[in-house]
Amino acid sequence: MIILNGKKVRNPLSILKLIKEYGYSNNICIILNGKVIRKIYWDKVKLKDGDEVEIVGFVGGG
Amino acid sequence: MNKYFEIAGKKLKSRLFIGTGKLPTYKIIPNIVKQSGVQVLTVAVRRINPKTKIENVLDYIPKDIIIMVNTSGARNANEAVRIAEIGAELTNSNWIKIEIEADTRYLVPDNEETVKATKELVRKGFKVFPYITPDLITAKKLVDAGAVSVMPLGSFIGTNKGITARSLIEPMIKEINVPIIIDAGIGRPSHAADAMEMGAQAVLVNTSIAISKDPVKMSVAMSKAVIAGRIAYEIGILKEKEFAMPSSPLTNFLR
Repeated sequence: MIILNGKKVRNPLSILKLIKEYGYSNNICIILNGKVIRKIYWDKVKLKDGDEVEIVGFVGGG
Repeated sequence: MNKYFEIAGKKLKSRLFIGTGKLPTYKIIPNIVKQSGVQVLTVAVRRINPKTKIENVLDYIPKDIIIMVNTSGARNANEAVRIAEIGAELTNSNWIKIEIEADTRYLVPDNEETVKATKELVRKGFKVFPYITPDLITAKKLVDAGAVSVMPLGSFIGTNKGITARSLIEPMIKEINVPIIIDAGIGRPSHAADAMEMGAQAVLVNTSIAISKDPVKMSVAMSKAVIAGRIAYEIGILKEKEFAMPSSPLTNFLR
């Protein structure tokens, strides 16, 4: 299991698989255990059980 | 009018900063920029849940615009610092608006946590623009902490009431030696002009542009009002008088 945006979910094993499995578009940023993972590393980074993943994006804001 | 004003090491022509929240579509952002001459736009960071298709606001912001990431959504200094770091990593901008709100009804900023976050983010090399409930002492602490500006609210966010906190902001403009940017509450161009006539260095407007029937035109109206108010401030605004003063001479009547 990993923690995705605060919720426990099955571990998809890699960031790339997570993005595909959950239907994310490319306009997102991934934070793994508090660290931003740049897009160029998305296909390399594996996910371990217990990892905390946050998916964030930029939205309009004042 | 002075051609530029300096803030956080940049020379800017436009004293209008615009927030991109609540816009009907991000597609109009380039036109807002073009028509209003705005040079600084604010954006926010949010969690994106699975299967939601969202557009990235950054895709619509022209390259020469300064992006100010807003920490809205943060409830304390730690969360604000985290959002700032994420924002900087992804935008290559170190301009950060600290907005920390613990109250959900009036959305008033938590000044104490804002001072804490300012200290931390200045230490990390950010250009910090703290958004606060107007208070001279907090503003002084923020300047001591290294803030490049102080942004007092003119009225509660989204209320369109103008500068209702006037008497609390005026001493800040007099005493604080970093630019004061009035943020929140500016509902119409005359409010923006008012802020500039008071001596604020700039204004940040979001709601009243974003939810107007024509955000592009409203951004132009706000921009012109800011220029008008600033020109008048630089010339010197006349004092109010109690009694009437004739505009025409009172002598040599034709009788």
